[in-house]
Amino acid sequence: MPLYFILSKSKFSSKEKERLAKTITDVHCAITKAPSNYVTVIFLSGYRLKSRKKIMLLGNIREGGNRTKEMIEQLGHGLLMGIVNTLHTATHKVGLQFLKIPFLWVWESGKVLPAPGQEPVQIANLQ
Amino acid sequence: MVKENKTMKKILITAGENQFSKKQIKSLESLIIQNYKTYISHEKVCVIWSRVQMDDVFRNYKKGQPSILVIECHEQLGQDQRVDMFKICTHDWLRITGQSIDQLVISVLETPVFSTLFQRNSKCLSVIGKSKYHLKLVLGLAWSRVSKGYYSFSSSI
Repeated sequence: MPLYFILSKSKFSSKEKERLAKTITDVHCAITKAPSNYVTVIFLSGYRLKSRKKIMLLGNIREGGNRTKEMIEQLGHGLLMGIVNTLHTATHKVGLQFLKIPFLWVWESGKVLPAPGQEPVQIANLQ
Repeated sequence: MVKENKTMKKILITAGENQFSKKQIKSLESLIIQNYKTYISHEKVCVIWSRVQMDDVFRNYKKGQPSILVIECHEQLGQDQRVDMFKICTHDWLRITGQSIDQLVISVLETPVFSTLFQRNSKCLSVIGKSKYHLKLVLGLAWSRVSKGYYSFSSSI
């Protein structure tokens, strides 16, 4: 977690997928300060989207910790603009939805993940 | 008081296309259902496998193939039960698949959150897209059940 699903009608090329995955990972980590090793991006094609959108980004993100409403809005804006710039497409062609999941409900790398924003502290404690 | 939903609970597993053998899938499915009964609920549970092409998944910038288990539970499940479920499923999963611990993500979600997640793809679709999606999903699940013995569908349609 985070887990981002990219729904689109057409299949992206390998290079486009690499660039989009990089954009999403970069933006998520820059804004939330989460480590990149937890960021997963999955591409799903063949989806005829509502409102003639080209791409729909569905993000499962943890809630709690430092995830304020403002941070989530900033994250949404950053992801949207990142995708628009990466694909050279119009803003209205890209949709975005977040599903917020309590952090205690997620298990990754053999542990319950810490509250968002606490990850570097946890890594420091382990060292 | 624990609120029980009368519909069958679901476990959605996202894994790579052909990543695991039929035998591995059957073992994993059987153990997860058994663990569900032990740690979460005696309610009936249905396991659905969502198959993803190997080159469609990126983790930490690189192509990779994590396994992602999303388990539905009733509301107000105790955190101790959830953690027990995490631990036993991790143990079983890694033993059967040989995957490393950083390739496994498990979440145990209460029904309202699980349902939102489960129905979300369909809600993003146009009317025609939704019809095609549901048709392919139902036919894919039925065909998989008959030919392979478990429910699975391709995430890309």
